[in-house]
Amino acid sequence: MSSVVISGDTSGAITLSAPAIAGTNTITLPASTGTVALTSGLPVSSQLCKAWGQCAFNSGSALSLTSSYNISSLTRNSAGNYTFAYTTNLGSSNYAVVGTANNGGSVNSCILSPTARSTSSVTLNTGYVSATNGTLSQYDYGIDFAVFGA
Amino acid sequence: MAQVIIYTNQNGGVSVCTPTGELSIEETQIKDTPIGSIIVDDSQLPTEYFDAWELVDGAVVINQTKKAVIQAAKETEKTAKESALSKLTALGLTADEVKALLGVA
Repeated sequence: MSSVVISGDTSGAITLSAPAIAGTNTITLPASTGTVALTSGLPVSSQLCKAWGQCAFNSGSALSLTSSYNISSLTRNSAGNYTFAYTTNLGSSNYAVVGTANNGGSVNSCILSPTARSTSSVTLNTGYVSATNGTLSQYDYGIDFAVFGA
Repeated sequence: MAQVIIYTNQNGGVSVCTPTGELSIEETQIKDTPIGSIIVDDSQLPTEYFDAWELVDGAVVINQTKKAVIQAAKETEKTAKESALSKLTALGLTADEVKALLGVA
């Protein structure tokens, strides 16, 4: 340890604020010599992806998560109807869900639609438009999705 | 074999909850599933007719009435697609073009 220098070029103050939770927080600087600049343009929480997941198409069988972030579990409620629960809940249920459904590559009319969203989970439907009656027939297509919100 | 959490959902079917590992299965059961859910090995579950599953005395069984409904719906869908395929093929479309229109893999 050599020294820690905090300096200001103009008037005003430099404040290091601790979060209002218990625990230890550490800022680790890179091992190489240089400057790390923090700017006021850093994205705020509501601009960041809060959760995402990818479930590969499994020939119409039950899906499993290939990879994910902030997802504690995947629940299959019926064919093509899945609930993804968040490990850390969101602050509001007014959030955006974006995603796609796929059948592994070949051309198809795969549909993905969020049917319920809460601070603790989101439920997604996948399926296709029925050739018999034009309604959505649920089917276990692959799913890629991301959640943005507060 | 993996452990999953199962319970009877509001539609009378069986929901199968698979933890991702971010939380333990016990923590996931408390947080993500209703009271009364049970942890089972997924090898104990049937492998087909998911929408006909029912949870009876801690075991998943296939409701034969629901199974028959699913089979009938599949047959109706298959017949409708074959009929549409026949009509579109008669118009001179290639098999791939017809399949793309019908959403058939």
